[in-house]
Amino acid sequence: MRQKAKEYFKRLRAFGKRHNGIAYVYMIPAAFGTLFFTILPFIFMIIAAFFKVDLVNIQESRYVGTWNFMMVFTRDNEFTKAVVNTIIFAFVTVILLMFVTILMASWLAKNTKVHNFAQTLIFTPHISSMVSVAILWVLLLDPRGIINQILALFGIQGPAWLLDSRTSLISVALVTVWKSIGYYCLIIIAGLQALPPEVYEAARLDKASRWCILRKITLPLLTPTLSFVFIMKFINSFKAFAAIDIMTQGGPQGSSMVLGYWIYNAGRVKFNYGFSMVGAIVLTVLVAVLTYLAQRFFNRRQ
Amino acid sequence: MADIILQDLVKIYGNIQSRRRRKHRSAADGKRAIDGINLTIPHGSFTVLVGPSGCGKTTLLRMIAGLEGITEGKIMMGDIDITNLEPGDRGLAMVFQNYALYPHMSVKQNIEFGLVNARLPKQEIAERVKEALEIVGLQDYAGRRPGQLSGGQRQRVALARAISKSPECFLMDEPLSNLDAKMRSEMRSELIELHEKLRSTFVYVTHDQIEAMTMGSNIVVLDEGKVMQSGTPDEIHNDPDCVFVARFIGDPGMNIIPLPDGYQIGFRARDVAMDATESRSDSVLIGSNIEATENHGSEFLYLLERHGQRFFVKEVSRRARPGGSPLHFCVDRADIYVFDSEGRRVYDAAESERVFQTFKSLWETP
Amino acid sequence: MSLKAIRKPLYKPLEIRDRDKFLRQVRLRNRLLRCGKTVNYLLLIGVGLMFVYPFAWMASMSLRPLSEALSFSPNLLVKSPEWNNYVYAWQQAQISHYVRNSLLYSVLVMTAQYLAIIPAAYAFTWLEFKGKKFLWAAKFLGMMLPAEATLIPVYYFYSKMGLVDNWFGLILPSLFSMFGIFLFVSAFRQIPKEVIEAARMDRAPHRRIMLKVILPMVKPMWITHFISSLISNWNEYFWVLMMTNSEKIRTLPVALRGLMQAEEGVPEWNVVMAGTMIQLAPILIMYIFASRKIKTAMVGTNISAKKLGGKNENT
Repeated sequence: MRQKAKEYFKRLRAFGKRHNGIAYVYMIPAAFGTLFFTILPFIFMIIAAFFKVDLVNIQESRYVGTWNFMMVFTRDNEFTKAVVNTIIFAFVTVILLMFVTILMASWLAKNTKVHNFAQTLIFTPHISSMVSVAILWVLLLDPRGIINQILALFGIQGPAWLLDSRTSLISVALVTVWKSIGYYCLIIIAGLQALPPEVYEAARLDKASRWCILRKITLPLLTPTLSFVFIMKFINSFKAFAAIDIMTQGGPQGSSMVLGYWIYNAGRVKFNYGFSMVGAIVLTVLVAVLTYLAQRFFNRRQ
Repeated sequence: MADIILQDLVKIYGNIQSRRRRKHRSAADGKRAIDGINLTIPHGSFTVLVGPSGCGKTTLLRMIAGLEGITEGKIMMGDIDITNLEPGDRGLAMVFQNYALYPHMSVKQNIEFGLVNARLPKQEIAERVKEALEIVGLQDYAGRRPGQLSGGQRQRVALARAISKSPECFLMDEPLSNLDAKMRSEMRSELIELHEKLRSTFVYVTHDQIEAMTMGSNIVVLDEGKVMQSGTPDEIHNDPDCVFVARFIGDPGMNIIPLPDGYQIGFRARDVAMDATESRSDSVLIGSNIEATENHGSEFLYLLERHGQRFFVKEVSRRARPGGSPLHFCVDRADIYVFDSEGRRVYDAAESERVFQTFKSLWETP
Repeated sequence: MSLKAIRKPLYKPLEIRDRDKFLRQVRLRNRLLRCGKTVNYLLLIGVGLMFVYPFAWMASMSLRPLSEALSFSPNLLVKSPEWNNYVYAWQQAQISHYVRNSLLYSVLVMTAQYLAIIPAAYAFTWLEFKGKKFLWAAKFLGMMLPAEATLIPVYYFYSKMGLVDNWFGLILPSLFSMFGIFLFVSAFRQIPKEVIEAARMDRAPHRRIMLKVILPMVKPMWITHFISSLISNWNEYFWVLMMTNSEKIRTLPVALRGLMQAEEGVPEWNVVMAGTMIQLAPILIMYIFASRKIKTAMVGTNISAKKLGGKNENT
């Protein structure tokens, strides 16, 4: 028996040596993680979208065909709103961020103590948790809060921000922009400082004015980095969750409902897995298509 | 005719005041990169600034270009003071070490950029671009991006960009150092040709003394921010002003032998008569053993040692002498240079004769 | 070859007629530039403060008595600081319990994650094995799948396996952090293959190469990842919220949400602010002392991981 076991282990070790066996040992956790957190949920998502899922007794779940899709697409007002809001939210955040950060970065990109200090200050919100920032801004955006007090100084009657269905989505978008300005500024500054200095010297010898340098040299040279960063941000804004959850919980009247929050609400709060997974599929398809387009866009550029 | 005249030029890096505040002082602070340079670069000359790395040659070039601030002094172009002018207003074009082409523009756009900024009429821009490309032989590459060109081609684009502006003066900062050996020698002769064709001033920076000797009509040797000597290649090679220049120029540099009284004796490795036997009054006969041999193809370089001093002698020959074998050679009085203890050349005939006699008495092999 | 056009000089030094006037202009320009510099510096600080003032205001809020807090005065000074808010938050609102959970969560994740990430990254970079391409592609799929879509199924698995409200379940996914694997792979790829080959020639087993050769070489990157992952784990919200039902193992960020929404009517903002301050304090203090390191860590990791197709971990 012992002899046999020894023989077996010997053969196993020989196999390992031939096939780089240690690699499999190293990969076990990663492979398990991929299976458990990517592949199985992916399959579950697709299957559950066609079932009326019974949570307590999974065997009792009924196949309902495309009924879930029909219900979600045609009957659920909040869902349509969520899709539209998600797209609006992504556009607003990215376009605002792009304008603000490109301007601010070209202003802040200098290596003096004051510039560095300013960079440090504007980066602070990025390392703070979204939850804290969101709670803080719930207060700042209160109808009687500081923002409206400042607006009142200029004689403007501020809106109710988060509590008004016309401004709630934009308010959340503004807060996420405020939080990430520092991060994107630093990324652009890093990109600016990686540009070759001799090219700028050559441009000075070529009698180029500052405006001309910005338009004809800096922006074209920076475009690959910029488009990459902002397209990634665009895709990531489809997944906004924490800010919505803390600040508005999708309200009022679904005015700030986004897909990520809708999925959570349907699945984790109302325990309607079929509906939730339909939303998940829509979100996945949206993100996948955008990622694919972005990927093609970058490959073509190279 | 516009000569470039540098007057008492000084460049001190970093914050001068911060010398007092030790804490914020970096290593470069307060260093005199250029230390009082007075120099005239004649119009139409091919002037080469040469020196070891860190001697300030690139800094000097960039000061002329206006890319580097000037701490003290003046730069004149003919009778125009250009010290305070913007780089683009100085009437210069520069070729950078790593070409500094605009990577996102085509070859044509690269060349056009400066001309458009100078508000030239379209017709003339087109003509100039065409001619500049013809001169460097890149007519067929006008639409390419720099990334699609080889190193040599990029170098030519950078040249064409400078040529198209027909400037008073070309500044070149080690333009050949990023090319491989074959390409480099090719470009070298092309640059000489170009200089003859255009007849404008070239100021060329290099650390390679061979490049300096072969290309320059006027050589300026720099060390530690000071001009050591300037003159034609022959003057620099045959009449070095100081030990530094003697050692730096020539392949190999001059053999320098210190004497006990502080004076220094120099002679070139090829200025020797091999296998000499008899001693004369106007030469020194030296004998030693071969320590090492370098094969240069048609000639051999032998490393010898005597009185603890190492030196080289060169022989044109087909076959090398065996290592360790004894070697006698003779150096003529006319080929011997005398320097004082500070490294300056001794021009006084009597003084140098005295030093020569000391050297002969110490080194002559019976 | 003709040199017609080129012969005409174009670039001539700019001629200056009135030298004194020009020098005066230069001097004036320099003086204006110096003035502009000061104004610019003040503006820079001003804009910087826009991003820090809310946090300072939060600190001030956390020290006000409730009646004063509800006036939302923008003033930062508090006449008589109410330190009891913190005592109340710490004891009554049980922040101490959540701080302990947050600490435990961060420490567990930080220690456990490298055990799996580093060998996996090593295998992905240096070793050949069957299914490598498939696994790599699956990892990319994982990057594309939004967490919002997959976590409902994962919650279902967890509930069936009893992993909800369970420390093991809570830290399980960080063991397979794709972000971490991508980051380490991108750092490993910078190491020349010859280093591994030389170590193989010295008959070193992979385990020793990994621990003694490769890890010391990627130390700077490791520190970078450590900092950024520490911050994002301390701030983690979505995952913990999804996988916990009871207060037993909930962490501070999730607890803050509860604190804010628990009571009917108006929350006690001063206490909420005190709790939020406690959540922010460790990171802000770290940031004050090592701002440069943290800035480069947060920007650097995300860029290099994104180049490989990773995503920003910190939402």
